[in-house]
Amino acid sequence: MGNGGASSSLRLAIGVAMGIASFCASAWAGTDRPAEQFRKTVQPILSQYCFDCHADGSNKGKVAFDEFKSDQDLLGDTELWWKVLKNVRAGIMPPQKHPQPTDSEKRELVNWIKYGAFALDPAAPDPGRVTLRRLNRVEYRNTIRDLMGVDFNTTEEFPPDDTGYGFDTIGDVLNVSPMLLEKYMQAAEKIVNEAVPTVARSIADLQLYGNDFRGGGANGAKLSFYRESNVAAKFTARRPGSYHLTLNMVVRGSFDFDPGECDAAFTVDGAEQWHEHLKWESGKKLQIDFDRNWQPGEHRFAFEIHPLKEIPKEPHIGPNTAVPTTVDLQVVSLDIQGPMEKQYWAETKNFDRYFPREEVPADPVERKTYARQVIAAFAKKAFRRPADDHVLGRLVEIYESTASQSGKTFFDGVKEAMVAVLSSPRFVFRVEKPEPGASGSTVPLDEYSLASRLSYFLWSTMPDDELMSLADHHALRAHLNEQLKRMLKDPRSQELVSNFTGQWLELRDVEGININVFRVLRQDNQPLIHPTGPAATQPARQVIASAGSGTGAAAGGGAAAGVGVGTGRRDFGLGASFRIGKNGAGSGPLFKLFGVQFQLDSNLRRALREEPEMLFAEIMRNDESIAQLLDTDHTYLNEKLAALYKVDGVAGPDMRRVDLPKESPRGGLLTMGAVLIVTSNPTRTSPVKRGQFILDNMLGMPTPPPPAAVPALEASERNSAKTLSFRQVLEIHRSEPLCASCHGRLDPLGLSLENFDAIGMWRDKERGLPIDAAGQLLTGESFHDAHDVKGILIKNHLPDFYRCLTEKMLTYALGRGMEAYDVETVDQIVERLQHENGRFSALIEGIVDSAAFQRRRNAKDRMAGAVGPVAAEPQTGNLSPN
Amino acid sequence: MKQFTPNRRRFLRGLGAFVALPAFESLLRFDGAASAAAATTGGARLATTATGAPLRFAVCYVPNGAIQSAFWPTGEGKDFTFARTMEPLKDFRDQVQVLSGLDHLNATAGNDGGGDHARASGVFLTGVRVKKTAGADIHAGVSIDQVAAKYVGHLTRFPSLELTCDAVHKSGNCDTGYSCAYQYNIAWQSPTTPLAPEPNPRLLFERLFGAGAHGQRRAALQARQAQQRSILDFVMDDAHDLDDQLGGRDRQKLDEYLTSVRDVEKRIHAAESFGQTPDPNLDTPAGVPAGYTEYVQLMYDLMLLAFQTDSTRVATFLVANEGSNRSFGQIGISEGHHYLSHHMGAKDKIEKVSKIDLFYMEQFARFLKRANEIKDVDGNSLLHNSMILYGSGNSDGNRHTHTNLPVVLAGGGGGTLAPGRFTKFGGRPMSNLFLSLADRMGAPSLPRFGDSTDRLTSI
Repeated sequence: MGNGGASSSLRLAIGVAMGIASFCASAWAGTDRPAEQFRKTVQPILSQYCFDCHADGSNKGKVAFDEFKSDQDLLGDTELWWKVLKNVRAGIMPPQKHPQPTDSEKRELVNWIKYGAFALDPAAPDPGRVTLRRLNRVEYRNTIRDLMGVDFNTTEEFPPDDTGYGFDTIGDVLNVSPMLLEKYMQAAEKIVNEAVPTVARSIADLQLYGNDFRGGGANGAKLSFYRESNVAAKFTARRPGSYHLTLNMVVRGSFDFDPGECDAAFTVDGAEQWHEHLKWESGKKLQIDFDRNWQPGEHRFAFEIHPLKEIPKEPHIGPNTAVPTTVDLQVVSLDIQGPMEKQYWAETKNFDRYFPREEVPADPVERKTYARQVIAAFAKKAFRRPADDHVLGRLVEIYESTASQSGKTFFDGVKEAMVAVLSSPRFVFRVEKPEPGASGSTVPLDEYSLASRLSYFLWSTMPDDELMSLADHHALRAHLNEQLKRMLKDPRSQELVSNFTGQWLELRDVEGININVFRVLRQDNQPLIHPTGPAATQPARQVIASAGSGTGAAAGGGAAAGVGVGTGRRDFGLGASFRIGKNGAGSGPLFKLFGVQFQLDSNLRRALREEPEMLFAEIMRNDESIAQLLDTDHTYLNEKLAALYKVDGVAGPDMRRVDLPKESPRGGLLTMGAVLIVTSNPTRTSPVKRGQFILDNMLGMPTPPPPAAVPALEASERNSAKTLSFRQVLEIHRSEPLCASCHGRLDPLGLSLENFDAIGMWRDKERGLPIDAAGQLLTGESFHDAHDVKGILIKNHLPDFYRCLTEKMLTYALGRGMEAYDVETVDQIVERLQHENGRFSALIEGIVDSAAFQRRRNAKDRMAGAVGPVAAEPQTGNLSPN
Repeated sequence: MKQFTPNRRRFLRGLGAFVALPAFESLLRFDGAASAAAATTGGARLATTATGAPLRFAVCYVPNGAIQSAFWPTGEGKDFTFARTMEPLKDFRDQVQVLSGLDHLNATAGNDGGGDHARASGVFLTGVRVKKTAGADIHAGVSIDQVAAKYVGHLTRFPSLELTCDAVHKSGNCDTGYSCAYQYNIAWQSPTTPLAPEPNPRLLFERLFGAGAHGQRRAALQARQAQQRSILDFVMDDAHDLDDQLGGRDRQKLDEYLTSVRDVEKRIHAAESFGQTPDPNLDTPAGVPAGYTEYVQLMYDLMLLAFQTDSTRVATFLVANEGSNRSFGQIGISEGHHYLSHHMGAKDKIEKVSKIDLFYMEQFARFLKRANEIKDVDGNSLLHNSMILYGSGNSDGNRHTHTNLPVVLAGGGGGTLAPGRFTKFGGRPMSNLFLSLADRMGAPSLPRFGDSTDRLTSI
């Protein structure tokens, strides 16, 4: 192959693979053909354990093992054997009440499926078929940011990407439509115009923001009218000359009137530049423009606030919003331009990103060469590989045809070529090529392709200079491990954290999900909460908790004098008032319990999303065990999230690591608020969704799809006049044999989390009935509550979790779903994880070292017939008989 | 900083005034290139009524079926009474035709098991059994709107428009084993290429009329087209060049890109033949409105504006994706729509779902009302010169049935439809209706579409 040699971990993987290969070689030694082997060793196992339900005229779940008409039939049914493999491995088949095969029998069966039926070759795994991938919205935005230094809001400008297998990185479903192409072309123009400067030098321009002004614990971003403050910032003029300054401020007041007033002043080097008497006039904008002639030296800008009203003894409560009112001054920005004199102009920002020379050559030939050089450098970065001469020639033509027009400049021409680059399929798609000269049925990817696979996997963006330079020198494979380590340490790896977990755990939905907190809290706490006042007509509903029975001691917050608050009340830990806004806007109704308020507003929603992200990031950065995702002794909280979890001693809005109290039911993903919320309905929990979530995303255990027709349950539920707990409703459900097959797997897992309501808060009762979280998993283990479930998962199902996470991350990384031929690749990574106690690096290196990540099928090779050119689809498939 | 609210209100007010005016001949180039192009094929003129006005075809999709008892009218033929859900349509019942007994058997489980929501929307306009895959090889069929667009798309500046009010997609997996592509798209350009709908009113408006303020848009649009023209040759060339280096599925993917390039190119080249681009005297909408009702109304308004200005004659509006679990605080419903639709017979849930059905119908009715008020070039109303199908690919959301789908066909089809009736078909493929609508759009007599068995004669 001529590349720099495999990395050590790759060698290890191959070593393991070879071991398996030799094992299977010996196991199958002398056996001639998989079909014979099937009859000799596999059929007896199936006959003993499976035929009762799946043969001799019985075909439960439409599976029968004795209906194959030929060997080809038997071996060719990949889907069936894949299903068998998954179910047997998961311990779902044979069902617990039936005799179980021994471990060695299971191994026999699994090995035959892998090496016999699937004919997998561990020494030469099939890398599979990856379809040309378009950049998704996240990748496009990040790539533009790194390429051009500007932020282009793709979330607003581009339509949402279609997803497959739960991820937005799937080549097959990332389509291009005429509308999207138009948008790409428009975006290219907009971005280039905004990002590419056309002058080498310009007037220097610097902004100071509110946060830059500090003093005495105060901060220019929020200066209260009730607090004497003096905040300042400094600026050093490096050149003499005239400066122009623009100050922008805004009065920020609560929705309801606040009586606060103050004298505000702004001074420059101690001299007053502006002062004004300010009142509650929310949204009032103030702009002050002034000039200075400065010599080089330091200058000081300061804001002073002198309150004119006392802080009220009782908080001033707004009549409309029922929250304390506020009024502050916000310093938005101080813009300093100068010196204005041309000889002191500064280098234009980003100019040298594109243009190595300050002046454009005057000589036409030299100028064209320079243009070509500029365009080539840009195209290489944008295409993530050098542009070939033909493409470059075309781009230079575009440059020329524009630059030669009257009134157009060199820069106009170059920019036009850049617009073409950003509209090109080479930018929009991730074009992958094999190593030059490679042959065979599978071929290694060239290093530019590999650099992009790495950077889009770990950073969701283009390769940086270091990766590109290694690829230039054909040295990336040789330095793969150290690059991997560098990339994971780089802050950009946060993209893997947020984009992967955002979709795997559906965390992307947390900030916008619609929840009706009032309903959630009310239905479980009928005696505790009741709406007061003309709830329907007020913009905000106030719900006061009244007396209730319970076990919790009254917390400190309970002392507040709230209307209708009785004594001996039980607290939700701290007592809670929630505001859950739609779309995280924090604009929903406010709920107030026990006189203490806090809101499930955008701040709390962000905290909910960040908690699992931060645990994942910790494991990734410190190379810890991924088993911690199932259970840990610590988590990440801020004040609001800690209050939701009833964890004391966490103050302030910043997220930080917190050791969980021993008795805390939290720890691990399953009991994190975010996961509990995204698996709930807007008004209540959904044990079915939660069970499904655990099976799909933690255990990777197959659930048979729900039957197409919902059987007649209505009657049975309606017949019962009294209130049923959700568990009881589900029990009725499960008493139907058709439902039982599936809900027997889903419900116990989901019900184990019933102690957590639809906003993730702990509860002892559901609709007034005590919660029973106990149950039994389909694999036989009994448990009392979620805590037990976590223990069982760690004790008995860690390999399942490893496999599940491996499959999810491989899907995300490769941009395609898992196929039967991936079983071996996944098994190798799982083995590695088990061998290395679940260390994150075993997972990530396992993926990066795999043939699936490093190689591709050879499109030109006839052996890979399965991926050969696909016959053109009839464009009107539904117009012809089908 | 963008000031969304005032802008949007101005837009809505402006549009109200705009559509209230009797006629907008100036906006319609009805006598120019279009008529010339409106040659006849096999009888019907291409997307043109007998009186020479444009004939429009639109489909509005709502999710999760409908509460049957509240949906279907009583009576039959001309002698029928609307039930609760369709009450809002009563003011123009002579322009509305309720069709019962139309089925999508390809949306039933067959051998594919669960996934009725994905199938409901995937099948709705294609009539075919969509391939069950979470992504590897999505395959549906060309949707009927795109069949129409294929034949009449060249008559207008845009062959078709795709709209939605689902700007945010749920993350994670979609319906059991089906790619989300089946749920977030109803228009399919090819069996493998869905057309993503535009969720952003501002971008839709700018695409139709150009960016900037009224008076500047035409220039902005021209500048953009000039720019695009200079780039298109390059990207076409580049894509061909790349195509030679790729194989298999990669090539297929690139073909999508190439098809799009050709499409945009065609449109730009044809742009001149359409004369001056209309520039409605309205503010550009600011973005996605915060309130859902306003959002849905704004998108309907934009679809209407596109028809009124003859920017297109074919549109699909995915009001909400199939299986949508949206809650409706504005009408006092805090549970999710999908959750409620599996009501298992509970009366309170049924009541709430019918309220949601009614909400969606009210927005549709508001759109029809406006379309009914706009006088078209031939003196008839725009609604008279349209065929607007409204409905869902699920009928009973509780049980996931796909027979007797809840659908309404509004508009007079330029005189070719006989609205003002409740027609019972008693179990025919929905595809039969599509064939008959495609005929009216002037598509050459198609032998069949999807699972069609025949044409629907009495519509």
